[in-house]
Amino acid sequence: MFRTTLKQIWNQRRQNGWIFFELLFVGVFLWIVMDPLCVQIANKNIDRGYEQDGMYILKMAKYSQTSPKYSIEMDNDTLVKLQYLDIIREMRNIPEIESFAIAYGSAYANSGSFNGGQLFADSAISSNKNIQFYYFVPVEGGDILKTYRLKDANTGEIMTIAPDFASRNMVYISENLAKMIYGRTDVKGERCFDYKKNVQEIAGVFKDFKDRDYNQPYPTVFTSADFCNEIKGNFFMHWSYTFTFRVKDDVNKAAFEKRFENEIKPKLGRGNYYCLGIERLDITAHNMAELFGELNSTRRNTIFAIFGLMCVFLGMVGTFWVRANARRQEIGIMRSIGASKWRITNQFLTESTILVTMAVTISTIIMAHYIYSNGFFAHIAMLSKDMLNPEYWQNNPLEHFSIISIIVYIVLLITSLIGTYIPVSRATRELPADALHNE
Amino acid sequence: MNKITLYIKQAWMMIRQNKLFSGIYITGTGLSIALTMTLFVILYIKFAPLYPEYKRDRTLIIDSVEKTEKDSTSNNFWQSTPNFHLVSMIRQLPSVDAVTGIIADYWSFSTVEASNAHTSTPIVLKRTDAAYWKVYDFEFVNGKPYNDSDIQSKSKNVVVSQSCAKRLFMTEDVINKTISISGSEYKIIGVVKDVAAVMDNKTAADAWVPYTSSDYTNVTSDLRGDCEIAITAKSATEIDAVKSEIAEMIHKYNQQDKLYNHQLLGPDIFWASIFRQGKRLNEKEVFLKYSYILFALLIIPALNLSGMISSRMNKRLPELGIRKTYGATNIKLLSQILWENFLLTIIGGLVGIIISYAILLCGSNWITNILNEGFTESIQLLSDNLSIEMLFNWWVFAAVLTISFILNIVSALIPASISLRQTIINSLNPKQ
Repeated sequence: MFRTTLKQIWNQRRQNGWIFFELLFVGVFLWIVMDPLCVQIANKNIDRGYEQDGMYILKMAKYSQTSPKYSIEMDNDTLVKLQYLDIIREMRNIPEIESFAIAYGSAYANSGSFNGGQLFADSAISSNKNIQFYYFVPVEGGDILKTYRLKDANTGEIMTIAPDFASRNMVYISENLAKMIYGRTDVKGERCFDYKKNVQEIAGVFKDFKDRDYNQPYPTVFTSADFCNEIKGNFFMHWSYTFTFRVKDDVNKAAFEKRFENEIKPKLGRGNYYCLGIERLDITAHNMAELFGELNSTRRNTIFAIFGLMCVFLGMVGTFWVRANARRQEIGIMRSIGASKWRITNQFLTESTILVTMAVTISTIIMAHYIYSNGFFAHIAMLSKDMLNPEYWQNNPLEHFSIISIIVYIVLLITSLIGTYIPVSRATRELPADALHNE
Repeated sequence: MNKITLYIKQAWMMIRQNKLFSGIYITGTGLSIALTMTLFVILYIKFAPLYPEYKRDRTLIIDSVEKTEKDSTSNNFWQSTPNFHLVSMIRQLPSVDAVTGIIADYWSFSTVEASNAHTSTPIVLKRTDAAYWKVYDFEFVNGKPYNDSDIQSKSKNVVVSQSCAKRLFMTEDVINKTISISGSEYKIIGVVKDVAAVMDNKTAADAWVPYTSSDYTNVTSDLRGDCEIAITAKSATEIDAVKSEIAEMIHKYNQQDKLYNHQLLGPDIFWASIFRQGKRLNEKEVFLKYSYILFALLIIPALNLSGMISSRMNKRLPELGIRKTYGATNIKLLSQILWENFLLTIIGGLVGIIISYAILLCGSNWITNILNEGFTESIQLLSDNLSIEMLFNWWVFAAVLTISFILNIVSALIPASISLRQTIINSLNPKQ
């Protein structure tokens, strides 16, 4: 049958030529749009390393100096510190809150801020890799690890801050950072050095952590440096110290949000500070993805992929509908000598499969050449080429290329087969006598 | 004309006879035209002179400034938005018509409440200088804009949009009423016609206040700050003159500074500023990118349609053979086929227009940003995303008609010409 089908394709080469070129174009087009789409989806599906659900950010603001509500007497470093600590205590005592963390500056997930630095395994300070630093203030019972529910890389258990964390100048590091500077993850108790060669002790290693949903995990340090071991009063308290918190699992979030808006928010004002409300971290993450164009490119590539596939679908339906009609006589004869409907449909589907396979093979060769000449490495949010985790398929050139090619082939084949099946199955339903009579 | 009517009549009959073929053809064309038209509307919104940005053809934008150390051993650099000191320097240049600095909220929204209300709602707020009202042509429904003396005296005056006024007071007659913006009392002195949310982030807002009325205006000793700059040249032909005057001004500024060099990332002509990503702005790359997209949107459906026309031509060979026997020339027959197809393409075009309006209206809060790379300001807070002048305009319709025409020619010409090459004998009996 295969030989017959090949002959049939050759005989119909003029009509097949159009659909073949369309498949070829769509093959290249799909490769171009599916590649970033698949990488984005794959990056998004990497475990964040923390639990986003149930986390909130407290939004505070301060009255302008020209506001009638502004009080200059309340605006000195000593008083603002007391006011801010009072706000933290008020929040801490809310029964629905399980844990909280006071981030220094914008050191919270999806803040859009990036605090880069370096950390070394020995005082020789040989490597030059960039690392993200999350500074937090471990006061008033704040526990950043518990709030994020970071898991221990070695035991898988949710971590909590060591009681003597600040006094012993400790740091928590991510699994990928531990592997990067020590080559292993069981480094609890080891010493590390900052760029000034100050010694710090590793308090624990947490599973890889993603700051933003569409990024890959970045080597990360959770630390509380000298400048943020305690809260210090300043003019921009509400920007310097961000309060993030987690509600208990059994709390109805919608009810909590409503209660916060109506009951808690009005009571949170202290001095010149007033509360704007709370924001769910998943909404912050969504807004970040919108702001940094990640959702844009996902939408764009999805629309283009759908467009390409719909064109192929319509092309296949149209071509095979006309062809099935033109070959009604042949179908009638085949049916009258005992060929089953499936046998005839199968022949058309094989024709379609051969066309798709040939087109995708050529388009894959074109893409391989294009990618080879332009380089395999695609920039992934601030990660340098040598920092990419080879465990993710999207970071391995050969695996990456093969997976995208297979996806393009499968998607195109399924679309084409459906496009072929619909008109052909319709044509085979006609009685042989009718088909021959009509001819 | 009679001939064309006959062709169209015949095409109409064929549509009715071959419903599936016609349906597929129309859908394929509609799909292509829908996406092409959506692309054109997006480009029209981005580039055409629309309210209140009627001077886009002579507007230049500076969004970033970079400061580097003159010490060649240092790799330190600081990149930021410019400041109002740079605005005042540019204002002195001879070819500049007007220049304004705009501070936008990117990371958080300001809140507003009416003086008699107890709940605050988020708004999109712009802090500007007085020249803002000269660079952009806002239509004042009530009141007037703030002026230079308001800027000097740091007055708490605010201009609000019609929809913002209605949202707060249920009326547009709000002059001299007070509102509280992020805790500070402001007096409303003007109401402007709404700006569609999809417009540039420098104009789409709910309220505008003098930039000096805020406590947090960052004024550094260099050129870095927290505003973005829009400049209008006296005419479109003076754009290059403005650019070179600014370059000369920065060169002199750098000569005076012993420690640092400043480099402006711009000024970019308005349309190009949309595509700037930090230091990167390759106008050729942008042009090629859009050309590829347009090419893909046309060539894929064109191949699709060509394949279908080619298959159908086989079926119509006997009919063409008979017409040839009675003296019809290939040109006449080709013209007939093109006219028949044009009818289908026009119907497809109409379907495409409907689909594209559906896409634009359903995705109005994100669709216009879909081609942006990188940083994209949210447009969720403003009420009206698209205006009538954006959706219904002759430029877009002319573009769609042209696209339909090109699609028709491209998809029908080659398969029809190939079929018409057959001899009369072969045409009359194609199965032999």
